[in-house]
Amino acid sequence: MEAKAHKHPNYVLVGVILILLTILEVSVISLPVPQLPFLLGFAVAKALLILMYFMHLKFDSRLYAVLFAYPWPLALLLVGMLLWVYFGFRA
Amino acid sequence: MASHHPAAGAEITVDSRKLGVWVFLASEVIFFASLIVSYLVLHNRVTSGPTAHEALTLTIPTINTMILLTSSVAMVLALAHLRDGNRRASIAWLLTTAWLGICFLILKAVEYSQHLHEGLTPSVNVFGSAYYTVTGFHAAHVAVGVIWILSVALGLRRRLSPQNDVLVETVGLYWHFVDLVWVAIFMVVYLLR
Repeated sequence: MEAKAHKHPNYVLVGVILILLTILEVSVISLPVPQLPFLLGFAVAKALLILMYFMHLKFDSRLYAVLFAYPWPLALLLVGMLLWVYFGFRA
Repeated sequence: MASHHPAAGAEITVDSRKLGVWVFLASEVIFFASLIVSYLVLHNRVTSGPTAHEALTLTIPTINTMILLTSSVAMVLALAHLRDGNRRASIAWLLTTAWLGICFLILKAVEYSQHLHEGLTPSVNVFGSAYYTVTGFHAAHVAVGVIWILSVALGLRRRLSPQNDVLVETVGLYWHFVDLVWVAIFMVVYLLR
């Protein structure tokens, strides 16, 4: 049986923050600012909130986090390709 | 079988079923990273037919993002209620999650229908192929998630208990991962057109 030492986080508040971040994401593309840093920042923030609170990596065994982290060099490749596409094709 | 790993102030255990789901999700990271990188490389190399900027709109994908994020809240509330011993509320939240997943799929079908009507087919150009591949595989994962959630909520409802919450937790991990992938797809495919 899993450990239940922690109280439940405020999941609804996390959901509201995620939706607010989505609204900011959609809003930023119509602003005259560099989009990529903002969009990446919002997306990473949303991903971390989901991983930490909804998938309970903040509270569970670190083994799960380590297992999930090992393919992320490929995810970094994704970010690298993103930067390349953005600055390469749109320059 | 579970092995025990003591952690700060509380006993943290590792369940082999959860471990298996995490390993599966790690492999899915590689799968979707490959698809998204392929999309990034291919989507701007259109020589004929509609481009991403011409074909894609934000309305349905934004609504779908809200739906998936809300469904993740519903899913995690299902687990919280089960752990608190409220099985009926847990099943209700599971069914809410599945319903939101179905709403996502219906809106995805509407979006695909609009694309096909406007001439964006999977074979029209390399953008069309990459777009339908990325979003289609994600939608397939949503469909599998809906079936899994319904099977847990309906078929296995007698087995749901605070002592056996791993059934909900594992399907929840999968569902949140599908949400996570959509966060990436929403940014890459729709916002960075």
